[in-house]
Amino acid sequence: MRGILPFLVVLVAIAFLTKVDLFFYLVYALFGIYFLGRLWARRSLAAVDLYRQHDRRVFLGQSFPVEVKVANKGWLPVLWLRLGDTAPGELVMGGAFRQVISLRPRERLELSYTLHGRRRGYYRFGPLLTLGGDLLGTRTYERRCDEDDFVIVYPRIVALRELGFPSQSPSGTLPSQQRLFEDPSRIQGVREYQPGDSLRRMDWKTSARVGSLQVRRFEPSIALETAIFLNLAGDDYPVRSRYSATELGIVVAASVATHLIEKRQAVGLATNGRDPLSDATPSFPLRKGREHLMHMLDLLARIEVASETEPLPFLDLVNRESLGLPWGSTVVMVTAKEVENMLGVMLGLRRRGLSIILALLCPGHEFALTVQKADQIGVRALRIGSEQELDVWR
Amino acid sequence: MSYRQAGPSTGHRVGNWWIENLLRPAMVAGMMVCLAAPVVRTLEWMLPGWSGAYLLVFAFLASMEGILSERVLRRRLLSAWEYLGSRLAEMLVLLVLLKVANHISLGWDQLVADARMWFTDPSSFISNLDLFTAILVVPLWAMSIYLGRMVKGLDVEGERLAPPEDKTSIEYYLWMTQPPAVQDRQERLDSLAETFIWGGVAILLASLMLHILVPSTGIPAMAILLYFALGVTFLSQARFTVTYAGWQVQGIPIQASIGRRWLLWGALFLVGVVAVVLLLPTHYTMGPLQAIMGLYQLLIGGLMFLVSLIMFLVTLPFLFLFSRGEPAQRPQLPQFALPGEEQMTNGAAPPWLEILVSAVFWLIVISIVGYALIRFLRDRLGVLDESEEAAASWWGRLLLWLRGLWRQWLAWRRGVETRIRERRAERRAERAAQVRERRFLSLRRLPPRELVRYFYLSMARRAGHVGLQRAPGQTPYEYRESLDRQLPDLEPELHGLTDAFVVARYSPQPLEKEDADAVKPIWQRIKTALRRRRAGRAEQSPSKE
Repeated sequence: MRGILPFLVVLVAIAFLTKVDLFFYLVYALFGIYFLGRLWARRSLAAVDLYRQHDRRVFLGQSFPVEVKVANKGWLPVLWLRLGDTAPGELVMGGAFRQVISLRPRERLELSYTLHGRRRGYYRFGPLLTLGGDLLGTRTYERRCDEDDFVIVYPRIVALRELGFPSQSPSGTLPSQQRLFEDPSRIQGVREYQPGDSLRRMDWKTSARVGSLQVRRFEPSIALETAIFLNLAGDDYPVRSRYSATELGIVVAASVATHLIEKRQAVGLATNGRDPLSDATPSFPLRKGREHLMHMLDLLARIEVASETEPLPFLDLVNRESLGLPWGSTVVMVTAKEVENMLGVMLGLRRRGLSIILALLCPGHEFALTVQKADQIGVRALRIGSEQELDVWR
Repeated sequence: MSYRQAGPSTGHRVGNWWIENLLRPAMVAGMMVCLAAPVVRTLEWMLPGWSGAYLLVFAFLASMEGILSERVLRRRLLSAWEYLGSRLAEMLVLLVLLKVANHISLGWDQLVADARMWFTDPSSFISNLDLFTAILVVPLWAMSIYLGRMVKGLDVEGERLAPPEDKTSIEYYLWMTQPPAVQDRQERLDSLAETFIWGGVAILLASLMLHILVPSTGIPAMAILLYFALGVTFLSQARFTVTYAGWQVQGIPIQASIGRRWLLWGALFLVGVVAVVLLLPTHYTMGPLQAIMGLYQLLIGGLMFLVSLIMFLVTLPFLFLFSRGEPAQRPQLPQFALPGEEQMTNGAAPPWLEILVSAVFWLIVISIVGYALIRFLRDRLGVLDESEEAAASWWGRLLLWLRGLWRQWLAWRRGVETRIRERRAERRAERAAQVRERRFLSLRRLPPRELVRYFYLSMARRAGHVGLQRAPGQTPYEYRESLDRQLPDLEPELHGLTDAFVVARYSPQPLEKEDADAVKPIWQRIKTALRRRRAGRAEQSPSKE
């Protein structure tokens, strides 16, 4: 319809020459169709309100619906509207969301599509894009609805039952009215079985001897505060297994933190990875509660391996962040392998009354030696090469 | 919820059968008839006593036949020679039928008399009328075939527009290598639009010539209006087809009702535009400057009159007050002399109306021409681009300055709108705060978010009366769990109300009135159950005593 405007000018000239009403009406009608058609398309598109609704936090492997709500707030119908959402590519399967609709005046529509939490991470949504046009296709109008929207895919959380942490604080730091946790490695005695007692606590030998069911009583002396240190300095990991090992480290940290928080213990977390939302070294002090766990999982979801920038050396991180830990706390160090001076740092921590668990993700051939050396200073070293190896804590 | 789930999306078919196979060919044939109308009038003037109405009907039928037969021939996949032969045979039949039709207007007796002459004088077989009508009908028929072919090319038939899912299949390869569906259609559509405009030029020029040469015949207004109405509707439909094909190529799901809505809203829009157009003036009694100056004087005069009227009304009580019982001298209402009033004669329109009509007329015409010029300069010459080249010339700078002024105006307007919106929001918030402060709440006046909060807090208060207080520091979900244990029958209602409260309290998303209304029955059920429980407790208490 590019020729319509010159044609209109010619028509105006003819109308003035002949002074016939019909030609004037024709000019008005054609111009009205052209101009008002564009105005209609623009105004109706401006009156469209849209936003998306979805779960902001999902677990790995979980599929979740994203609802796109479209509302025509105006009194003009929307002839056609092409909607498109710029969802994070890692979560999309089978193409991005797009849809063509038309809207009656004041009509509201709810569209939906599904995203899949296929990979841990913090994902930002792009704008919702709309495109509309007029009846004769002389012009299209585009609108972007920018919204600060994101989704966090949590790392895999492996269910753990017993971490077998060594006990250091017999009386604990909890108020007396709160339930104490028991250390299964320290048997205090036996008592009569009561309904609800776990079968794992049964003392079968004593039961046989006494003739009635007996259960073990444990000392209420498990370590109550645990700091997790996660090494995400890319250079500390072998290039070949860097991705899988760091991801496993994150799984270990997330699983341990979840397990301990569910046991109502205080947990802290520090890592030398890169937080895309902040320049500071990501760390959380010792806290209890689900909200604290959510913050830690959020961080573990979005944390990235620090390889391009110069990361804080892991041992420096441990030294710095362990300063405020109370006596008797447990330190879980999740790293690739034993490095120079690691035993010295761990010895220092032991002397400050801290218990240490060293989880090595790719220890190599020297693991047996590391275990021996760690054992000498009272540190428990574990090799966790896969999620299955987390069974030591199940 | 007030949001409706989107309906099902369509498959690969565009529009309806009757739109593609009947409505669009009929539109094209109708346009052909409109093009023929001025020529038929000329023939009627040249051949006194001859009426060409039947010829218009014949042209319509011939055009329809041409378009529909084109579809049949395309389906048969004929060779060029076969196609040409078929078309020639068709044309011969058409001419014979045209001759018969011509004799209908002359009468059967004339046909019999002419038939006798054909054997003695074969040259008399083709009369002047036959010649003229054939010269008119055959090009129209050919044009219809051409347009029919183009229209058919817009339809989606037999092509695979959406990509096959399996990207390793042969079908996907064939889809990838097929001719560009949208681009081809766009070119066809542009060509159709140009043909429509040239047809418009032709019909206007023919009508104009007829008007000049034979003023007594008048202009075929109906044919011209019908031509443009059909043309615009047809182009709108063609645009829909091309756009639709584009969406299909991209594999975008499409709402099923979009085709029907396009047709309906397009028709309503055209009717609306025509209705508005009929209200606009088509004549003027004064030139543009005179009209605009007249309008200016009219406005100033009107304003002066209003000011004088207000002054008069203000001073009127004082005049009565200070008259001391004597009959006050009646103040004179200021007289407002309209420009050109002295020229008013009996039976003519009032001068102010003529000024107004002329001013509106000139404003519309100037706007149309100005807009067309600006668009033309921008689209074809690119002079309104904000480039250095455009700024180099004085008129380029002038246009840029005007554009800057326009943008400033838009920015100022937006700012004012924003301030008004903010002020309104503040007032609403103040009003809501005032409502909260009142002892007796009017639920109708509460905004949706406040209403949901009220429902929840009311529930918590009533639950407190029956010993289920919400502990300090207890989150809504924790409180819900504790209530669930005590009121297991109300579990779904408690979940619904708690979820709605959490959204109303913490979510930034807008909450509609319908959402709040949906919560009300839930709240009422909980309220009834709590009231019953409270009554039960009250009955138990005296019995214990």
